[in-house]
Amino acid sequence: MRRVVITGMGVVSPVGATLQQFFDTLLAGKSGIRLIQNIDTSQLAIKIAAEIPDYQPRQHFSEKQLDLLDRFSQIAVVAARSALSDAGLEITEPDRDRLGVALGTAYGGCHTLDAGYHDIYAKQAVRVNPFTIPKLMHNAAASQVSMYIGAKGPAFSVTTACASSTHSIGQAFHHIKLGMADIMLAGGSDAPITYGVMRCWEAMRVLATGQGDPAGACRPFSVDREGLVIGEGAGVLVLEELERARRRGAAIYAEVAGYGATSDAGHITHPTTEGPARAMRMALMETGVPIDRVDYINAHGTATKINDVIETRAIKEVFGDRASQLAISSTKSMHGHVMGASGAIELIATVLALKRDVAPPTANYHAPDPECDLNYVPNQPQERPVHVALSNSFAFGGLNAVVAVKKFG
Amino acid sequence: MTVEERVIKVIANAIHVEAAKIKADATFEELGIDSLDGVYIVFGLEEEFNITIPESMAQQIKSVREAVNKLSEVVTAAP
Repeated sequence: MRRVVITGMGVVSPVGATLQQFFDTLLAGKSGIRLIQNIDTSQLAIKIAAEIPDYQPRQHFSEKQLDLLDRFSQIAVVAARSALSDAGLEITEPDRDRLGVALGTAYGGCHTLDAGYHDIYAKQAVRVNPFTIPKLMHNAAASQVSMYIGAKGPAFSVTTACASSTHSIGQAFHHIKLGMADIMLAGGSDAPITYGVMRCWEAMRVLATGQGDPAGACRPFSVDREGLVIGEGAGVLVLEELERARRRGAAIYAEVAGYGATSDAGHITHPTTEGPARAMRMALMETGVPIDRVDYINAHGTATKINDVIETRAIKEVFGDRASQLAISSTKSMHGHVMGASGAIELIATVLALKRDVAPPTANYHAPDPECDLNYVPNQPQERPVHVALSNSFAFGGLNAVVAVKKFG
Repeated sequence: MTVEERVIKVIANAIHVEAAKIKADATFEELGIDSLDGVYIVFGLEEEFNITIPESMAQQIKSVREAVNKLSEVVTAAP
């Protein structure tokens, strides 16, 4: 069976747009959550989010290119370019048919949709921007990345809410394993901070308010947690068939060793314990390593009351006695809930944890919840050997995905 | 502003070049305007002149001059 390794990564996130800055910020426990600056919040009850700071579209694209790129596509292209450059990959013509793209997104081009609907409903506009459809479609980011880098292999988008990019990475892994492609650019992007999307999220009553302390708003697993914080960002990983990576002497971050995906078939928002547990087991089964080799889990850890309890139970169910030996952290405490990009950004954090043998912390952890009683790496990173690590994503809709990575060499 | 100046302004805006660089006798092909740009130009003309350009007329506009002529007809005909 063909093996798959990670040879490059690119990130555009609320806590950094280079791998170095991204991981340093996570290790420092520094949050990127702030008062929203990019949209008018005067009519919003929730005024905080994890925005990408200092992102200037014109540094990356011409005006003409920007006419056709929603924000979620822009940041996907930027992350894909930096992943390719990190991998040291020069794409030549014979490679293109074997190079694919798999990107997750939950919201697609919602900035474009928001603006179009505002014109139609609020302004009663006679006409709408003719590029609205090609900008807003959920596959726009995958198509744009494919065009910008000239990838002609399998290319598609995956939309499973908060698990989108974990599913896309898992699928990309299997595409290479099964021989459909040799290299896949896998990950996802989301830019959901629009007035319309924020209003809809407010209505669900699961958002943290962060009053008086935006940076400390997201407190996964802590007894005083009060909900999730919406974020925006993109993460792309270069997945490459092992022999191909070896031939070109590529630096290898880690091996993608397992993928699990299950559905709760339960409730549209209320999760089960067994669905996530089965997804973790399925991913571990594919790795073929015993569970005592697992050292770190990058948790879904949304900081909602229910998720963190259910996830803790699921981890205990899968790992038994090993559960208390694991380092488990939610980096969402710092980069926020990046929705369809979460899985990709969190897998990048997971891979760097494995590469450097250090678990990034769960920031803003104040006090234990009796129902969340594992090692959540509170506030300070923990240096420890990391042989195998999991990245968990559990979506609204009961769709669960887990990717397992293994130290290489 | 004359109709010609307004048409050139719309085209310049749509393809992101300076209006001064667009000659009144240039064809869309010479300006590197593809079909998608064409759609955006028609959208811009509709906005600028507050009119609706039927698809049959849009198809016929392949140069700055043609755009000016068509728009002049429509603008003159308007009450």
